[in-house]
Amino acid sequence: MSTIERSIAVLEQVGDHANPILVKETRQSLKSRQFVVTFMLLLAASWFIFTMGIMLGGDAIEFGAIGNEFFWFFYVILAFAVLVLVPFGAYRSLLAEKDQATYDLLSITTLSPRQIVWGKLSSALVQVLIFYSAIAPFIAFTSLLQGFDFLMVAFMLIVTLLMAMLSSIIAIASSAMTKQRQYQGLTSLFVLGALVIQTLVLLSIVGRFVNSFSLVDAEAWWTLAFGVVIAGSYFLLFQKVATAHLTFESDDRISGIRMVFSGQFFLLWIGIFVMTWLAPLTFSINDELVLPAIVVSYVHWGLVGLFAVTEDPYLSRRIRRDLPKGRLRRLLFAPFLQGGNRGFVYVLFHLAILTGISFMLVPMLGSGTWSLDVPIAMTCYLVIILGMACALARWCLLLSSDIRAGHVRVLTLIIVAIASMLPFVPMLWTPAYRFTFNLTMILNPIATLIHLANDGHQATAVIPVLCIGAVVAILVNLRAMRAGLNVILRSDVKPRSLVVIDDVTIWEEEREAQTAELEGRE
Amino acid sequence: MSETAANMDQQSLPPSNGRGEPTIEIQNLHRFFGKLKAVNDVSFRAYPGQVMGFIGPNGAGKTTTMRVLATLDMPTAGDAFICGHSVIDDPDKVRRLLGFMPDSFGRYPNMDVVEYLDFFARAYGFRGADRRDAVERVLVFTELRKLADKPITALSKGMSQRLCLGRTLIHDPEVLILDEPAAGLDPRARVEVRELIALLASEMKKTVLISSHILTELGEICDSAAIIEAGEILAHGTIEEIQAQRKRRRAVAPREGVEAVDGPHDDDEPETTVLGVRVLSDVERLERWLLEQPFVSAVNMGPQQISFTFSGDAAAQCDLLRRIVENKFELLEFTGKTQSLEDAFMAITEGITQ
Repeated sequence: MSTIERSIAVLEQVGDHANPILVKETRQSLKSRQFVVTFMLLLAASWFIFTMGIMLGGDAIEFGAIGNEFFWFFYVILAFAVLVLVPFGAYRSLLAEKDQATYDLLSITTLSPRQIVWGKLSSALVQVLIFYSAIAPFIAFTSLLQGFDFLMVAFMLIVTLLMAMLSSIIAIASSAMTKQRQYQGLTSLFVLGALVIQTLVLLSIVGRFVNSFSLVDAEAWWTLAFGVVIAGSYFLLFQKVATAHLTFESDDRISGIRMVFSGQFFLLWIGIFVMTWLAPLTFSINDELVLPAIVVSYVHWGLVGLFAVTEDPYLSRRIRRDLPKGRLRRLLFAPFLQGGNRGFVYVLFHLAILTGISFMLVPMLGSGTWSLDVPIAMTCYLVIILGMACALARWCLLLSSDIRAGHVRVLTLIIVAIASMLPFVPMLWTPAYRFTFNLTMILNPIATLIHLANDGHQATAVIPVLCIGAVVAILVNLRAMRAGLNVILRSDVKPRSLVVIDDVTIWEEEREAQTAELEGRE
Repeated sequence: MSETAANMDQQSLPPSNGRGEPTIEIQNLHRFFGKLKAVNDVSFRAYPGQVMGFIGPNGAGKTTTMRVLATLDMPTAGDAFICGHSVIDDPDKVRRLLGFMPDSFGRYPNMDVVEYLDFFARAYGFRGADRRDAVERVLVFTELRKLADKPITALSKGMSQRLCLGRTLIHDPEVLILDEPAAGLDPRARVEVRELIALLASEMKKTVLISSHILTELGEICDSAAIIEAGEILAHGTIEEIQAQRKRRRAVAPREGVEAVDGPHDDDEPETTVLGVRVLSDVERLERWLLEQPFVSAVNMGPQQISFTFSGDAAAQCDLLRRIVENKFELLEFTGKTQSLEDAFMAITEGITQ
């Protein structure tokens, strides 16, 4: 067997174990006019820069330290190709599958949604690597010039590769979420615009970072490592989101996403503790590090919570059949399962941990920063708002199945916005109104938090009111939360039976579970 | 509230009659889109080696039902089973056993025939020699071998449908769901696709559920049918069973919103037969004469022949033939036409659209 035959045989074997979508898309790409044109344009632009650089550079080519400047030109072209064209191609690729009705054919094969997402992503990676290989000879040329910083260039290329992958997975998740055909044009435009803006921002950040970055600077490396971990967590999150949107309705789409949200939260704090422990000279528990992390954590749980507490409590037989066997394992797993009531338990659990962390760290910050009133107030506000959203979602679903989770989320935001504006209504007819914080301002979380952060005089009155509000929010949802957990703890998949209710035949068992949860029955 | 509709429906489904376990079983399937009841309490079964026609006007709920069977859509209520596996609980197992051919082909650009089949073989988990064998088997069965290297976008409609059928067969499924496989094909291509489907059921013992608007063709390959209108199954079973169900249905209850025109006395309605007479001349005189005869209705005149509905028994038919000859009509042919799928469909459906 000749070397070529052996190579082909090896490639065949590799191809056999490669993702089928990767094989298909690579074959298609190599034949597609769009890819060939893009590739040729990239080469032509690089040749143009190369030629112009040589012509205009004059003596500087030989004697000047222009390696990095030269590299920048090639880098901008490469960045545009891998940060705009490749992610947009990935976005269009999944959308085209839906448009051309090939997605249906794909989804009834034995390929899992995860394999489909990874297949699309790996074909984006192949394209990125092809673009890298196209520009490699030009970068090799610049490496011969003076002023070329090899480590910095390698660092930039690696960061750009990771950014391209992150952008691609976000683009794939966006196309997985795009259901309505009429919005496709608009979302395509939005995605393209976002990718261009992201590339411009990244170029400016990289430009600044490269100038200030020192390979011996420990803080820069720690910050970079931290950034990579956080970016990695978002990569995982969008991969889960894309997979969830491609997953069949009776499957568990939510628990993976909830686990990533929890993971992100713990990563942030573990990261902070690890950095302050391993590099105490560089990082310390101070207000510049801790306070932003606390605020980011509360915003994180506010956003995640709004989605989690308004979910439909429907759990298919398939999900209930695959629940863990032991009671304790079920109890631990329950908050991660779909459903607003379980979502509220899930958020409360994390808010309790966040409040505990705040209680531990805020006193260490010394005087001149927050008092403990601020994290207490933030926790109370989130419990009140999310508790209200959770109850609203339940009541709305009992009223009509036409009311969706999205409607409840918008309704919650409207209520919060109106409540926040109410204390300022007197300003409308009192021209000489002077803003001073009074207890009615409690309806406005931002004004109250600012007041508390500034060590306001009303703190002693505000905190008890907010605590009472949070307790009420928990009590209103208590029965429903217990019911939501009990559904999981006692969930035995029984033989199916149908009932006819209001002229509609439905599964008795599922209806029972759902209604019990909505009504907070056990 | 607790009386189970499932149990009730088990009784309404026809017995298997020694055909073994059903490969397709739909139980009280519902699929609502808001207020629209696209599929409303649909139940039927199909058995190995059976070709079942799924017939209904546009918007009747055929494609929605088929999409639920193919695990592309979730039912609002009810369930469907492929070889005993629920499409809700075990969609992954169902996908291994099922081949679905949708009404739209779904072409990939920049791909040739063999690459298309190779991709789906990979997607169904075939590796190495198994994959090559699966592709080859399908190329041979669909007679696409000579077009293997042709881009799929350059294939004719007929060849595209063959390829689509080939893709459906790549993992050798037990059950085939074919949504309008002959739509838009020329007569030759239609016959070819029909022959392939007949072969799949008779030789390979596949269960085939096929929807089509071309009822004459379905009648030739289907041994049973399910007729759906406005999301509800009006009749299912063999053509004869459908006729029987039709009579029973009319006798028991009129459909919601439809006047009970036939009334309960329809149980006494005599058998009707469509008869055809071909004569050498005097077609118009024969038409006038037939209109005056007892048991004759719905007379249709062609260039040399006349068809009409006859509601008399065999003796009355014999008497009519004798009188045609006695009246000096130059008779060339006198034929009785059995009730076709088309007749059954026309008799049962009322053209209700949602």
